[in-house]
Amino acid sequence: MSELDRLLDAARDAAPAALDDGATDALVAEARRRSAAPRGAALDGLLASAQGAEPDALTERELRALVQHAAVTGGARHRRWTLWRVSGVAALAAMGAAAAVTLAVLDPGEAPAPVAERGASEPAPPASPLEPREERAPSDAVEPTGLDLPTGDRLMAASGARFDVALEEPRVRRVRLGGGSMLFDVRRIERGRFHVTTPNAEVEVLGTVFSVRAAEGATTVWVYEGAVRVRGEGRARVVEAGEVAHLGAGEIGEDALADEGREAAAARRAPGPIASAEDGDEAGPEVARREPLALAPSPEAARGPRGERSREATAPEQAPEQAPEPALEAIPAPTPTSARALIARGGAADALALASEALAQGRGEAWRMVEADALRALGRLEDAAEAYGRAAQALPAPRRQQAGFLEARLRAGELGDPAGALRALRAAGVAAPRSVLRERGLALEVQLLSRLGRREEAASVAAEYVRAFPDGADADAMRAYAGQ
Amino acid sequence: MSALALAPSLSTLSPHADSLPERRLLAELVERLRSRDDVVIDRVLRELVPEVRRWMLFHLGPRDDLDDAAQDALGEIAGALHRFEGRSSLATLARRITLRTSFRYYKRRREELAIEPSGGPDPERQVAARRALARLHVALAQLPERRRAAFVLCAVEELTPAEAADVLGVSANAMRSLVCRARQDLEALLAGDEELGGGHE
Repeated sequence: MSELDRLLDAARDAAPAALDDGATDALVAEARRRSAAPRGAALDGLLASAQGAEPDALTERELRALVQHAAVTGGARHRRWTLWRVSGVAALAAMGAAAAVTLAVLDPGEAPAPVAERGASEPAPPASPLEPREERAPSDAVEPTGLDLPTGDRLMAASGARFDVALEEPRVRRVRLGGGSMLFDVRRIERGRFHVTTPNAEVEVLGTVFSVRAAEGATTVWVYEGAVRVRGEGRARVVEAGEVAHLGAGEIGEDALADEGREAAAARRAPGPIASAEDGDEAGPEVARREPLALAPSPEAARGPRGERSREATAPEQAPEQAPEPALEAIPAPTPTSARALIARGGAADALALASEALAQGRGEAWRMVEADALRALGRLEDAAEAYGRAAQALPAPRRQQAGFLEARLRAGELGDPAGALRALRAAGVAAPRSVLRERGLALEVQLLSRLGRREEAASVAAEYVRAFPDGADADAMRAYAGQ
Repeated sequence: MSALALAPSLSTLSPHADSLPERRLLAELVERLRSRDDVVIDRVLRELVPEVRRWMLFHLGPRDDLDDAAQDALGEIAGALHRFEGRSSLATLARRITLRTSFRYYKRRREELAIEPSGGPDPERQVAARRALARLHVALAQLPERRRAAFVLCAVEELTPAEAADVLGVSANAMRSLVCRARQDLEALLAGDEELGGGHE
């Protein structure tokens, strides 16, 4: 046996150190972990890498196109949903009116126009009288704000009016007037109805001009054209042109919107979409008269029956002279309203051209808002902000405040310029005491000041907000800013 | 838009937030969406576009109809905004719709997308990430729909089981079970992938 063989024999007898059970278990567990690891590790490695995957970056133009496409298709879906819902109202009347259907259906900038364009077609919400929050005594109502609905109805809200508009079923529009004064120039729709409800009365009409004031638990209705049916306090009756109905305590007082009511009644006699509507006998079926409502003759109109006679009787003396001659042009000249409709249909560039031409020809400063709306719809936000600024300088209140607010909001939001937003807000007097946008103006000013680090000023303005609007929508937040 | 204008994100406002101002913001958001406030809708959609595209990439993998799918999802989201009730965040609503849309697209015949460097800040890393995602989807394609979705939500998007359950409409425990099974399936499927370092058993 060689030396090598002896060495090998000895080596074969060698043994490792003995292991106890714990050490053996640990070795087994580690072996299992290592044998399993490759599967899990492969997946984990794949995941770790895959999580970093990103889609290709979009340009601003591509992003805008995606958003607009989504808005268009979304708007179409919304409309289909609306139609489905409206058609189901007969069976689901108890569900009431859909708030979602509500404003969207009655929104002049109705879908499916692209978002940006729809946004521009109708002045932004604070500029719309649909959601005014500010409430003041009717005597303060010096700056009525008009709203044309696509149904042809014209609404005019005195400053401080609180109301919302709802569509409860096809052709039925309902306005809930929580307080303040509003004028309604209602277009007749075949088998359609129009209701105005106040805390203590309901007014039903099919085609007429009338105004309603709701204040201090009382409701007063002035009828300038046609007739309405007023219900309240367990009574109901038809109120005709030239009459005033009053429910509740207090005196009747003056209609803050009397001038506008007379003008609207006169305008209905002129050719045009509203004037062409037949309205006289459309006040609905007579209701059994119970106790008569408190009635007072309208000082500016003689009493007359409904229909043609009532139109003649209720129109102010000067109305025939004010009525324009019948329009004979086949192609009407563009107006700011028609230009806004153009924006809503996706023709922002054309609307901008119309506005530029109108402004160059000096056809009215109202075109400045169209110009700004069109620029915003085209995504030219900096230009739009400047255009709103020019409109704020050129237009009287309340348009000045609307334009200033829109500029401020653009600068505060998309343009990221809080200092510029604050300048715009203040220059237009958006938060001034008689501004229709005072509440929102104050709230925005507080936020801008806070954003600019001017905490003490923010607290001061917030305190002003709380004093003026203790129950305002942003009152809690404003109290926090004010340290109250 | 008042306070909403200054909120850093609208889609992540949650009704379950501890902060009262955030819950108030969400209530205002719901109101604005119901009244079809175009400024708010535009902002929400702009906020959701990158998210929806990323979610769609994760759920479908790199493929040539990715942006079509994202566009469909965004259209559905836009159409649903006015019905948003604020019971969850807008992001959750958008995820649900994105997921539902991805299910439709997953069933369609897909074209393989050549993965090429993009113009991002780290193109090589992006190529690797998309290749990894594509390879993962080769395995994911063999899983049942809900198991696949659960895995993507929890493992790729890294949602918690409760968040993912809210999106998929199952309980949190069911979500954990789905993810666990998906993981087991995937580990088995990838075990034989030599390129990934599998096949060591």
